[in-house]
Amino acid sequence: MKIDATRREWIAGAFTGTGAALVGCAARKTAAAAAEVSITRAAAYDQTLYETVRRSLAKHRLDVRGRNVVLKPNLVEFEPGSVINTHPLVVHAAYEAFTAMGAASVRIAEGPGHRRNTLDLADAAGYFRIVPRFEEVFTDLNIDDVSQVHLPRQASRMGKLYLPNTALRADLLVSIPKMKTHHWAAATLSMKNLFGTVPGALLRMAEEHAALGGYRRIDRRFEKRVSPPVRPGGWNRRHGRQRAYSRHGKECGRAGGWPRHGRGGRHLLSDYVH
Amino acid sequence: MIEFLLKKQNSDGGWPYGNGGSWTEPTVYAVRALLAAGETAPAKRGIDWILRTARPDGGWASRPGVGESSWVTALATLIPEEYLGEQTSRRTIEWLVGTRGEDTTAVYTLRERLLGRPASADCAHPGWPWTRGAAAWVAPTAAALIALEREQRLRPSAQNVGQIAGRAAAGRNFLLAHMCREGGWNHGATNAWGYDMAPYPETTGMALLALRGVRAPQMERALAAARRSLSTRSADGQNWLRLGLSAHGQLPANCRPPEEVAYRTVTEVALNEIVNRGGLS
Repeated sequence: MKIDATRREWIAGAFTGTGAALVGCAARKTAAAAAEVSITRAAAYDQTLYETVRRSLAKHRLDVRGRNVVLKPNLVEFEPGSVINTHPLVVHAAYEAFTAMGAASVRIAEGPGHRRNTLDLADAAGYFRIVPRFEEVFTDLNIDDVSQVHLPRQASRMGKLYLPNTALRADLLVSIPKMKTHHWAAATLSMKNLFGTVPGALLRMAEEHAALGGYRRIDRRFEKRVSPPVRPGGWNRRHGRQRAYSRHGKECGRAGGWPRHGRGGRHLLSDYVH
Repeated sequence: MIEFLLKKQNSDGGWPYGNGGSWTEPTVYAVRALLAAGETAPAKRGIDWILRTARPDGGWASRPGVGESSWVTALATLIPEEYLGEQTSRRTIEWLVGTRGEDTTAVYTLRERLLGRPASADCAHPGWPWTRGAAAWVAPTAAALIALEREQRLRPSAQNVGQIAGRAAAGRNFLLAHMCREGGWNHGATNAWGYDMAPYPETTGMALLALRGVRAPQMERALAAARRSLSTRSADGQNWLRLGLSAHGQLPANCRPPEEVAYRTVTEVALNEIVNRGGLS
């Protein structure tokens, strides 16, 4: 294991009794398995998306027959004229596609971190208008029942998480994030959408332990690698402005932080405006 | 609305947010709503649930099974003391007084200094976190402030009154420091990448309720932002805005929530009942 901490960090850790936490937070290099990736152009957010998403999923030869599928969009806040949330048409297109592929059940589930009232946010973002019987197919992860999950690998000071049973019991959890800018890292490239599965009542426990324990290290290394730093202004003009997530950001750990619990796998389907 | 609350009560005496197991937050609001409506029997079953779920450290977890006390500890003090009991009440306040944003603790500040980073701007006026070990935010700070001020009114000559007054003053300053430029509050950020952040209706209402009686130049901006937000379709937003504006005597006469506001969860329904029956005094 490579301990990726600076001398200054070691000294600070020794003085404040957080040396162990620093070791826990230190980066571990893991080999990433090759993943099948499709990038598909869609002309507009219109009815043609349904066929586009169906064809994209068919290419990946996913067998979801008889499986319980949970779609996790990215709902953060709503701001008219801005592009913050996953477009409801993308989510509904995925919903229809997985249903057509023979899934036993398909649910849409989300637990935003800023606005704890998910249904209000979904309403403002157009989900009630686009997704028929939205309340029947939607689970608000902020108020779902939870189970304690111990983290097999520690990337922060957290040893455990409380995760919603709807997500844990899914056979396939499909992350449908919104590709956009981020106030700390400039871009998170859709890697952290699953943070929104931690129920709102407990979310801060996770994100803030992570933020206070580790995000600054990640942030600084990001800055070192991207020089000059990515300026959000240009991105904002083209892709819409994203409001900041929190004072301390939601940066945590690394991709792959989702604990390998439950029966399911995970899959990424991103909504990216270009 | 009261029927809805009665129907949603779990067999263990507590309430879920929507469906499922009992959580502390909806149970506290449901108890207060039922007490206000004179439904004492189900309210007492709810209070028994709250007393049963108190943690050894004097706090409450968001729900049983979560092994960590959290911000909902402040909400527990909304249960009238004749039911909560003086000893439980005092322990709850002790938990709150001993809790602050992690980024303002001495250990964290020292670590940051050693790493060559500036200390948190909130060190001078620490707020409250959602859970211990995390940074402070607007909503848990507002809830804790409401609890401490209630304690000050209940026991003005308590032994730790100075400590309570100090934390309450810090909490008020935290809220004032985290007000959005246009007035009102969001989760706690006022600016990011040079953009001013917009307030949310629900946190604006909560903060206003916590700042009852505060006279500061920026309060007019906050009250104006709250009045502007009264058109929100969010039930949560409506409830807290009405509570917050009422606390300052600024709720417009005959103000009614828009027709399209949907009250779906136990917290929304219970808070609406509380608003309509006199508020969280």
